[in-house]
Amino acid sequence: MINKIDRQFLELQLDAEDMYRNFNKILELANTIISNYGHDMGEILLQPKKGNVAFGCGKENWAFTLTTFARIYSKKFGVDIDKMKEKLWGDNYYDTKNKRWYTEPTNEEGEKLKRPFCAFVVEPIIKLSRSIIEGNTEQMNKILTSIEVSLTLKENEHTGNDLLKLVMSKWLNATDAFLEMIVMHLPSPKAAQKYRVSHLYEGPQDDEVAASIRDCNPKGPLIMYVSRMMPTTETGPVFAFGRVFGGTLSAGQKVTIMGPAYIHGKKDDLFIGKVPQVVSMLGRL
Amino acid sequence: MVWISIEQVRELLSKPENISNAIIVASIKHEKSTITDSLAQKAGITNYVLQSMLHKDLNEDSLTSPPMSLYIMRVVSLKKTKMMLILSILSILWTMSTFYLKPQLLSGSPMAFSSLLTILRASVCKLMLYCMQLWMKKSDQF
Repeated sequence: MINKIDRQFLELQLDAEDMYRNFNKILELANTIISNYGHDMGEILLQPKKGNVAFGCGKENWAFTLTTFARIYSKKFGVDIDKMKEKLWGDNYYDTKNKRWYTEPTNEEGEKLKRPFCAFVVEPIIKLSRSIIEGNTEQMNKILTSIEVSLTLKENEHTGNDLLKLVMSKWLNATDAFLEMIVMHLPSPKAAQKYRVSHLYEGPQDDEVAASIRDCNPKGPLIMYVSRMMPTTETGPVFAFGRVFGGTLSAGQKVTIMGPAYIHGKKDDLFIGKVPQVVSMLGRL
Repeated sequence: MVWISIEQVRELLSKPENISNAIIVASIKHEKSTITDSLAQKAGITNYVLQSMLHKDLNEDSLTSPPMSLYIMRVVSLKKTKMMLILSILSILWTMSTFYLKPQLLSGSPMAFSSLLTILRASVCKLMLYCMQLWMKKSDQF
């Protein structure tokens, strides 16, 4: 997610085209790093066209992907969502007068055209945000009606940043964008562990432990990566927080603990312990 | 607070192809916790009923939505929870019966017999609870 985009138009007063260029720069930098490290992971480059990039503001709990807007505009233009996503990013321009798509920033009459990302995505957000911050209720209500967001009487009492947060999180809820990206683009452990096994396990890649990780096999030998030791109280027990990559973890089970200094085949930093209890992490109020 | 039964967790984990593991990595003050909280809330792993009770105006005003935090909770089987409740009630009734029966026992039987009975009942209660704890620990697994 490209975060804090509200600061670009509220504080830096950038226009939509400048914002587009900034986003493109950020994505290019990120993709350079990804292409250096993610050789065997398939196509994981960040491409807004694919809907795997979100833009938004975490503090105000709003974010969107191009899929969010492609869904809205595909109905309006009568185009397929995937085609709309392609049009919303890159060197595509739309002439609102002639209702035609171009690949160059000027039409036949020499008029300057806007990118659909700027005209249909960023500019409505900028307009709405500025109208709320400036207290322009008339314009705000007009935009709210067009985007089908309604406010209750109590919600209407808010002003400034509070109202902005409320309206934006109602219109472009960050959680929806994230959940969509998680479901559509993140691989399942069964798919991911096939290529991750060589990074996760230092031992021979053809033994039963590697096979247990690769197949995500609950009946194979137990392999758990402990990422953090979490103390409960000052003198109380310490929870080992981690992820099971293979096998099944049970209370009372005997396990071999390999410390950070352990080298495969040697006995340094190697202990045998017992799992006294298994707990799960949940959310609470 | 939400109690998820171990059966539910096992069912979810039994289909790894349906799981998506996500991680939130960001610089300081980039609202990682806010995003995590809203995701946890959306996923329904928080008790919305309790949340609504404490914050009655939650539905009307999302600005009052309270912050959440992730915490560790023991995964308990629903069957075991029910059994635990029944056994706890039984053990309480058993202990209480000692006090009710004590005067009758004292009047009809020697003191030594009454004390022995009390000790016996307390030991049975403790043994029951210990067995239950052992049973719960043994079969909890991921």
